[in-house]
Amino acid sequence: MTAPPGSPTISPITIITPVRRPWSWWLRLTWPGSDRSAFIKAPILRLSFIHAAHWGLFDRIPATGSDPLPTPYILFQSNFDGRAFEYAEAFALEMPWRIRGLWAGAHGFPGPNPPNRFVRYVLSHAVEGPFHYYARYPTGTVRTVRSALALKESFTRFERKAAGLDADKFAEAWREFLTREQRNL
Amino acid sequence: MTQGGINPAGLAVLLPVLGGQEQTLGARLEALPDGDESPFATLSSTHFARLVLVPGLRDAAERVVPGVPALLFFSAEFDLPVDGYLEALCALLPPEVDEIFELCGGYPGAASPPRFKRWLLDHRVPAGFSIQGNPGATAGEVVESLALRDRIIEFAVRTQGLEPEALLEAWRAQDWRNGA
Repeated sequence: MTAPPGSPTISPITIITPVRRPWSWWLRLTWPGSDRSAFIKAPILRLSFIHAAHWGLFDRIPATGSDPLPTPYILFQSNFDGRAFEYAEAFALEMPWRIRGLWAGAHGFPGPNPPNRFVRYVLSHAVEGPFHYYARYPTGTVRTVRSALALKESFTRFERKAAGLDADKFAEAWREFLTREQRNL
Repeated sequence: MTQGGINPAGLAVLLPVLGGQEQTLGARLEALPDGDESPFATLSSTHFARLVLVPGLRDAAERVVPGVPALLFFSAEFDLPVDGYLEALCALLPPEVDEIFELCGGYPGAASPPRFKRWLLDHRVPAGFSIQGNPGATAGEVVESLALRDRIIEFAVRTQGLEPEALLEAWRAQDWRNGA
C-alpha cells in the first residue's frame, strides 16, 4: 500500500533494548571507528530510507546520581520512510551482519534470520508511550530529497544558460534539461 | 559543530519524570499541535524532533526494572550547534518548554537559558553510531528544493506540447522562486 499524495511518509521509531555489559564495552570500543567508516555505512545509505538515525548507550539514568542499572541499554532512534515493519525487515534482509554488529549482545536478540523474528524483536522493544513528533518535510522521502537537491543545482545552471536564448533554442535546451534530469523528476 | 547541513550528532536526552506526573505529561505531549502548528516548526533549523514518554525500562527477562522512574525522551535533528539550538528553544518557545519539561526532575526553567542548557546536556545520551541520509543540506534547503522540484514538474506538465514561442512566454511568466 502506498501513501496518498501529500500524506506523511516519514515515521519515527524509538527502541530501547537491554544488552549484556561486555557487549556495551565492545560497542563503546568499536563505535568510534564504525561511525567514521564509509565501508560500514555505505550499504545502509544505499537503502535510502533513513533520514537520520542514532544508536547510543546508557547504563544509568543520566544525571540522577542513581546506581547503575542492572543492565546497559541501547537507545536507537530513527526517522525513516515507510512503515516500521518494512523498515526492520529491510535491515534484516539487506544488512544481516551489520545488524549482528549492533545487537548481537542484546538480551533476547534472535539474529537477523528469519527476518520475521527480528522484526518481532524490534517492534516489541519499540517505545509505545504517548508522543509528539515533528518533521519539517513530512512528505519528502530520502530519495525525493536527494533528487530535489540535485535538481536544484542543475536547474540553477539551466536558468543561467537559458537566459537570452531565442524561442527555438530555449525549447531545445528545455527538452534536453528534462531528458537529462528525468531521474530527478 | 555543523558545516552547512544537519548536525551529525543530533541531540538525545533522557529525563526522569516527576513521580505521579506521567499521565499529565502524556496528555500534554499528545495535546501539542501537529505539522506546521507544532512548536518545533517555529525553529526553522529543525529537521525532526520527538518527545516520547517512556513508561519504564524492562530488564533482560522483560520485567519492569524497579525503582526506575518514567522517562521523557527528547531528541532532535537540526542544523545548528547544540548550544545554539537550545538557546533558540528557550528564546522562541518558553511557554511550551516550561509546559513539557517542568514535569521532569530538576528542571530549572526556560527563563534561565544557561541553566536549562546545562540541565538538558547533563541528561544527554551521546550518539555512538549515526546515519544521515542527506547530511549536507539544511532544513531550509531541503524544503526549498522540494518546492522547486514540484514547480518544475508542474511547469513541465502544463507546457507539454506548446510551441517554442508559447513555451518561452510561459517560462518568462513563471516566478520560479515563489511558485507563482
